[in-house]
Amino acid sequence: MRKKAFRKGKWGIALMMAMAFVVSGCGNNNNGSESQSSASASATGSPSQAASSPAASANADIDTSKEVTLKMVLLGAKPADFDEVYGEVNKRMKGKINATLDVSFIDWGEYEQKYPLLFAASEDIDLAFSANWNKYSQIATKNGYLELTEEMLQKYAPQTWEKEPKVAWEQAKVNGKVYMVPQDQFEYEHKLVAIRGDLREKYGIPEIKTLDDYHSFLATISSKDKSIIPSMGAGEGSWLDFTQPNEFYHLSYPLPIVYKITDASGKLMSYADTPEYTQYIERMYKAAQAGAWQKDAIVSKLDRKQAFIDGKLASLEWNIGTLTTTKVSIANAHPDWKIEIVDLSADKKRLLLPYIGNGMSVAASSKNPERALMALDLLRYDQEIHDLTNYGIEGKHYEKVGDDQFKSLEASANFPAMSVCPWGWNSLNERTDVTIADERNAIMEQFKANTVNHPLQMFVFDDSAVKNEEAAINNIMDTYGKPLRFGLVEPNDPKRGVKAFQEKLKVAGIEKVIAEMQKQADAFLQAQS
Amino acid sequence: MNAAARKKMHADRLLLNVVGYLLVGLVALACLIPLIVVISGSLTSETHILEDGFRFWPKAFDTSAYAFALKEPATLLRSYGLTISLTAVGTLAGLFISAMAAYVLQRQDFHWRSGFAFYFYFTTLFGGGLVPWYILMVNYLHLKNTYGALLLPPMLSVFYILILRTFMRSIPEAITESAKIDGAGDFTVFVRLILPLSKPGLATIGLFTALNYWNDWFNSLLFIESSSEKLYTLQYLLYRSLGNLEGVRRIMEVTGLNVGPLPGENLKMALAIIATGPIVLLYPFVQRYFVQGLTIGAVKG
Amino acid sequence: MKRGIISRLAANKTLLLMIAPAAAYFFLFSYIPMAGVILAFKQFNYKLGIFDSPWVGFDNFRFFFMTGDAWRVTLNTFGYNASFIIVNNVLEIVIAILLAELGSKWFRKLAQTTLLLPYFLSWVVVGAIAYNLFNYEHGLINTMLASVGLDRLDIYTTPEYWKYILVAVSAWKAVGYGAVFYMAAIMNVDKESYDAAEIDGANLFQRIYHITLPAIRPTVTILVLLAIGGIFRGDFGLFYQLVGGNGLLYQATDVIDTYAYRSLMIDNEIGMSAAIGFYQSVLCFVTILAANYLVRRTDKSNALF
Repeated sequence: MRKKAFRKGKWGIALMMAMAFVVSGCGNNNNGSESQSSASASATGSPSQAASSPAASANADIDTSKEVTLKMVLLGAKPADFDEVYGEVNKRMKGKINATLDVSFIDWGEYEQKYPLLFAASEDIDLAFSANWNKYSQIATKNGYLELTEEMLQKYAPQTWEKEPKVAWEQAKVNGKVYMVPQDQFEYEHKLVAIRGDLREKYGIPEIKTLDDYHSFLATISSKDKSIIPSMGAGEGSWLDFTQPNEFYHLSYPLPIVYKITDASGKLMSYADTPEYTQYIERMYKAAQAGAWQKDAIVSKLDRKQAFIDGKLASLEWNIGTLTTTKVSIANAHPDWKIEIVDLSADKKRLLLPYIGNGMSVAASSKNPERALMALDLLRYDQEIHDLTNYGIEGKHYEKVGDDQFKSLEASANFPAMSVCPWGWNSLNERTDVTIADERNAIMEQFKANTVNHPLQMFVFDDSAVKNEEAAINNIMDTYGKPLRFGLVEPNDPKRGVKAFQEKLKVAGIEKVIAEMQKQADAFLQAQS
Repeated sequence: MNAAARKKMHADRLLLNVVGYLLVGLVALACLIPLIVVISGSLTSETHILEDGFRFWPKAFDTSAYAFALKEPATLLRSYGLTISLTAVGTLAGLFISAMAAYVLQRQDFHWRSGFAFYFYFTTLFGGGLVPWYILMVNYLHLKNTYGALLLPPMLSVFYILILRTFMRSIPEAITESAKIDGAGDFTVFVRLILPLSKPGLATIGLFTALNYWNDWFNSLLFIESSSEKLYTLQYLLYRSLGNLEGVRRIMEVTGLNVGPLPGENLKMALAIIATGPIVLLYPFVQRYFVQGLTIGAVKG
Repeated sequence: MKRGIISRLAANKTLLLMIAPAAAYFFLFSYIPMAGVILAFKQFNYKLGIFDSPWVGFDNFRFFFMTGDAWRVTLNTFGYNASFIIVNNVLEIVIAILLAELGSKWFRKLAQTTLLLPYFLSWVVVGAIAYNLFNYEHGLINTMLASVGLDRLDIYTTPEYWKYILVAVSAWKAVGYGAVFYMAAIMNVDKESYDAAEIDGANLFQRIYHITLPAIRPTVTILVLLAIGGIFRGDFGLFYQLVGGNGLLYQATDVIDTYAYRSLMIDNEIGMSAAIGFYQSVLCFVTILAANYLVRRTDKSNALF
């Protein structure tokens, strides 16, 4: 069962990434007219006819006379109506590029294990979903993915090459080479907290604005209401209570190495050595003593979102997408709970997540890389194909609402919108679910006002020189950092406190990792300027 | 037997009975209680589990976990069928091959017995790990999406061969000697005499091989793609439904669709019951080989 | 000399044919992929494959030894497994003997089935049950302690308890499984020798001591030897599902497998996990050679090889 337990941690990240579309930028349907004209040509199989469609006409000199089947690997479970929807997709694909997609799914329960094996064994695959949270750089450095050269992209995926922001290509580079076509939209990692407004009012707690407000809310709940768990504790990292309020940003999560968002020099440091960290641990210790989370929260197997929806949990920490959908679904069942979504570091600066959170790669073993790229171009920018893969069949699974929103219909249970792993070809043409649009837009306005850029955002660390140190540090993070984060250890404890943690990180070679990272980062910054 | 001896017998029998029933009873109880908790948990709604934890008796019965797990009865039946066939074929083949090897290894007159024993045992110490094995299975043996990928890996175990060897050693050599004098070959002796006399050992090893087949989900995970789902074993199908559950959760998050309260911990429990139920019921049939021993004399005669 | 071998092969033709399927099976499924152990000394590159990937010497081992925890977790692994071997086997033997001697067939059957039940529960389910037993607020143990006015126990923050909990849980899960081997061994004993002992006037305990125990000795030897062969491999499911991500307990509960897993979970470098596997293999190999040598000296026929 090793794999199963492992999944949990990554799941959080995966989920966060999947929210991409929820936080998508403004919709822009510039492809609408194209897709209508191409629809008529779609059902036919001959490449000559397909040449009349815009996608193919740009590549008139490419020989697509040989029919090919492209094997595509996606993550998740195969939904009931998948074959029907992709049947439609393939009809159109065949007409345009004389190729069809043969999709195999890797379940969430097994992707950690199975996905790298496909590349290790050089199996017969053409296209695969890839992501920085799914070992992108490791598989790329091991040559599991095909290097995508500028010429290839220009020739076979011209629209992609044209519309993809240049920054995205930079981010996708591993040792200077591109192995992924990243999504072309952005998202935030910023964590928010949702609380039960009814309980706050019931116990006379003023409106929550800061971290201190939040912790005293938790302490009050803990002492006055035994029937509800105040919070899950620092189960999902240290964003909410530590890195966000201090404007720190991880260079390579979960290594404890950060830079300050507002410091353009890009100086890297171990956060464990900062005074902010000591303060944070002291705060967590106090909060734990006050009962802000259960004593055994560190081993809790509770599904926190479900617990929050069921009214067993008074607060929930997550990103904007999850919290808005949760709020909407609670609002229907329990309007009296008055869920409030709070940004505890509302005035702090924040960065956008890298584009490589979702993307598509061509396998090194692919026999038809050209056709694979052409198919990818269609998945991204052929409006009809794009909409099919994202929302299903119009009128059956969804209906359009205006230009940039959609509404899910009954049958969408068999092909849920934006859930059948279309994230690899997320583009700026995404629609938003009408039910959450208002809530989200309000928060997004606030986010945008505080968004900044930092040159290191685009930097990807090549860890091959310090893999051993990294492994040792990951172990120390779990052994020492995690209990501290949960406030289980007295901060001055000689054996397990902050000092011991810092010492252990040194033994594990954190200085060497920082030096290596700084070296690479400096070179990167220099090349940028 | 005199009266004093009989009295002595009574005293030791009494002591053994008291200790025996008490100790075994207590251990058995410790083994039974968690299972009751599991059954009760599988019949409790997720909300109640969050509220009260597991109990011996559900506060209110709720079968949603079973409903979720048994959503597609046809698929489930098919994978029961597949798993039963794998278990039957694999256990029989594995048992026969293991028994032959074990028989040869225990033959004192077999010159290379130590060498072969080491040859087998060495594989348990050093292994190439998952990746080379996977590459062998997929790229060289072309077993991906085949019945063979599920049948072959659990078939033989060095441990079982060596344990079987020990069991076979306890068969008096005189029996095989006399048969050989009568002109029977090695294989005939093995089939006619050794196999029947090794029933307790064979039943033990057979039981555990069968369990390995029954519980296997990992080979399905590695070697069966979503396009060949008729080759999903039972445990893998159940294992997937946990994964799918998370998928459904994700869909709820993403679309805001509310499909009602979902199972969670209770599903884990229900899956444990669905998967183990049949084999637990089967166990008593194998059990007689451990409960009543063999009298060698009886077989001999 | 050469003719000697050929004639010996011919003489053993049937026996060799009988052992051939098993030998071929392990050659194919174990020896061929065993070449992969060299990954421990390589930086694996998918494109180059196992054999052409570059050598890196002992670099893949470094992460394990650099923080000075290697000795502690190695010792932990050995200590836990040694306790498991002793406690589990003693319990299994006692239960097997008692079950064989108890009169009520009905009880014997029922107890046997019941004892095997924990074997069917996956470690995930066991972990969930353990959490419900031990947790501070709602755990069964603490609820009971509180109801009789005693202090609650901080089980998940006290490493000391876990040494006993892990040994107890391991025994609980293994006892039914292991006892089956011993019961089968007891059932293999010729009933005539029991009858003979009874006629000689031996009491029950004398009979057990003089007939049953010697009769199961080969089984005990082989099972213990097989267990010793894995004495440096921790039962990952047991340690991981029960202890989970609870750093406070690692001092007492870490075994090589959990330690390596935690180090490598973020960046699952194949060479590094191969290195840990190789380290364990070498330790196990040395241990089993020594154990087997000792057994050979006293009891040649029951040695492993």
